[in-house]
Amino acid sequence: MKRKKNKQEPIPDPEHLTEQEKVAGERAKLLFKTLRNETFSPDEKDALWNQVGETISQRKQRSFNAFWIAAAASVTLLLLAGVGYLVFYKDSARTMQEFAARGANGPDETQLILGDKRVISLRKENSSVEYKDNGALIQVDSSSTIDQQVAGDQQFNTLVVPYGKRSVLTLADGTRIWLNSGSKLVYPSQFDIRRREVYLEGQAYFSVKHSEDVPFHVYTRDMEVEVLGTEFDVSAYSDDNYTATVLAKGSVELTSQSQSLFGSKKMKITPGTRAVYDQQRAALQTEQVDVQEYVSWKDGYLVLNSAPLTEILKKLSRYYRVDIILKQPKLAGVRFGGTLDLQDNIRDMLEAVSVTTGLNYKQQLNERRYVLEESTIKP
Amino acid sequence: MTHSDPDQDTWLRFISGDPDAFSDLYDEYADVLYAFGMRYSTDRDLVKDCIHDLFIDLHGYRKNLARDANVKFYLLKSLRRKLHLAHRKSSMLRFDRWDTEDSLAINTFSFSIEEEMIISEKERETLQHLAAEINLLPDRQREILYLRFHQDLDYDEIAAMMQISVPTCRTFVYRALKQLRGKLEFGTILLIMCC
Repeated sequence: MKRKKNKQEPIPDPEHLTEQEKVAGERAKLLFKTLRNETFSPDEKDALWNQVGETISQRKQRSFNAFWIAAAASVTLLLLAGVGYLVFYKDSARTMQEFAARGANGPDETQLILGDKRVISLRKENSSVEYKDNGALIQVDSSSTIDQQVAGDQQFNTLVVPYGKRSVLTLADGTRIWLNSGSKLVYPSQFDIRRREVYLEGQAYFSVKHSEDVPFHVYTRDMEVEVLGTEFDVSAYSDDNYTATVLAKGSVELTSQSQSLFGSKKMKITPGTRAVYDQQRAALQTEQVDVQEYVSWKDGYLVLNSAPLTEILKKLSRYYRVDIILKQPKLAGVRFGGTLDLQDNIRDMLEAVSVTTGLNYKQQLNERRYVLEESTIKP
Repeated sequence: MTHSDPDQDTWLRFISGDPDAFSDLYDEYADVLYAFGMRYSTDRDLVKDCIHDLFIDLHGYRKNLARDANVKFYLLKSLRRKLHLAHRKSSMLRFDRWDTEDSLAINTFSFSIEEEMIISEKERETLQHLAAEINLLPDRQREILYLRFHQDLDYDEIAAMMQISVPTCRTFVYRALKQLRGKLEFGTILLIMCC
């Protein structure tokens, strides 16, 4: 293919054109600059991209399948020849935990991974996923829909939300789940008739649809939350050394999943309670808190009553997918209060933090890295 | 030849398998492609389907793509070919149109002289007149004018896209301009200099 060589070339074969034809050419050129173009909305653009991604992953899946069916067939033969007596029983929590470990780590876009391994990319910063029709139909970002098989064996779906993104998930039973940045949720494509179970890594706010007969379980690495229908927040980031639940409404039952000698411990909590499982001490403790401080992120702002600076910066770096470095470690434990609007961009946000804390912030050459330090010029 | 423009960089990263580059490529060109596709069709879904297929092909064949391609031209050309194929397929099913030429024609243009230009009343009238005349030109001549003046393609590229020779392409433009001149009455010679 040839590159353009002569873009400025005014009109063809100038010697053959009269002045008037040249004028016609120039005018036509001018006119064509004003041509009205058909446009499609960002939603349509995203929906089309999702389709492209889906088609590609389906095709991959097809060629992948062809290989593995052949491989599986030969392995099966070998197994049949030998003695296949090992039957593993695993409870669904364990299975879901394994799914979570398998899901892609650190994608740039929010991803919905279906039971048949199709991967759907959600491009929006705040995406939405809604299950309809008993889980058979999935609406993504209110612009495109995806079908999935729900009959047959139990299959799991995974929603992976990278740092810097958020997602709202509506399950087929009407339960809504807000997933914060850097989170992963695994759930069956269709709930069991006796219990509803999900597995969480990261932070999520649950608004569980009440169902007396079908309890809802949230599993995390260290804690299990069982409810019938309430609203609560669970924070279980793998890089935090604790798991916490804050109850907004109703009541929940907690079980710490410690593999301690004394077995697990059950506990009921009431609204306004924060239950924290500390990994190092392997202990479950409760405190009374201002619920807003822990759940406001889902509405796009951050309420801080008296939070240590490191905690604030950790939350911001997850939310915005940036690294924030505190140059003077002695400031880490200093506490601040206030409300931060998460709709602001990171620079405005750091500006606000700087004003409150009296620190200066600098953006480093690597544009996702910021340094907060004491101002050298004392007022 | 070395190209250091960012589009070319995205293209090279895409060929070498960078998934981000694929997404960037889509972000960069989806709108341009959509606008271009809608020049030939009024069926939004058909255009979207063709863009979808184009990106699937790009992804599937990326290892075999030319590294020094002019990306925009390559994408436009590929989309035009897809639209033509889709059009031919659908017109083959319509038996009432056996005899007619089944090539895909470019739609009439809608110019927005009013909002976009600050010009004299007289010049505006002339342009409006010219716009009407352009829409009366034969389809292929209008298409060439569009590719030349709106998409900024050169003659080699237009010829390749429309599967005609470069001289034929030049002749088409020449004929179109001659015809446009014939239909228009231009004022003083001074106007010539103003563009």
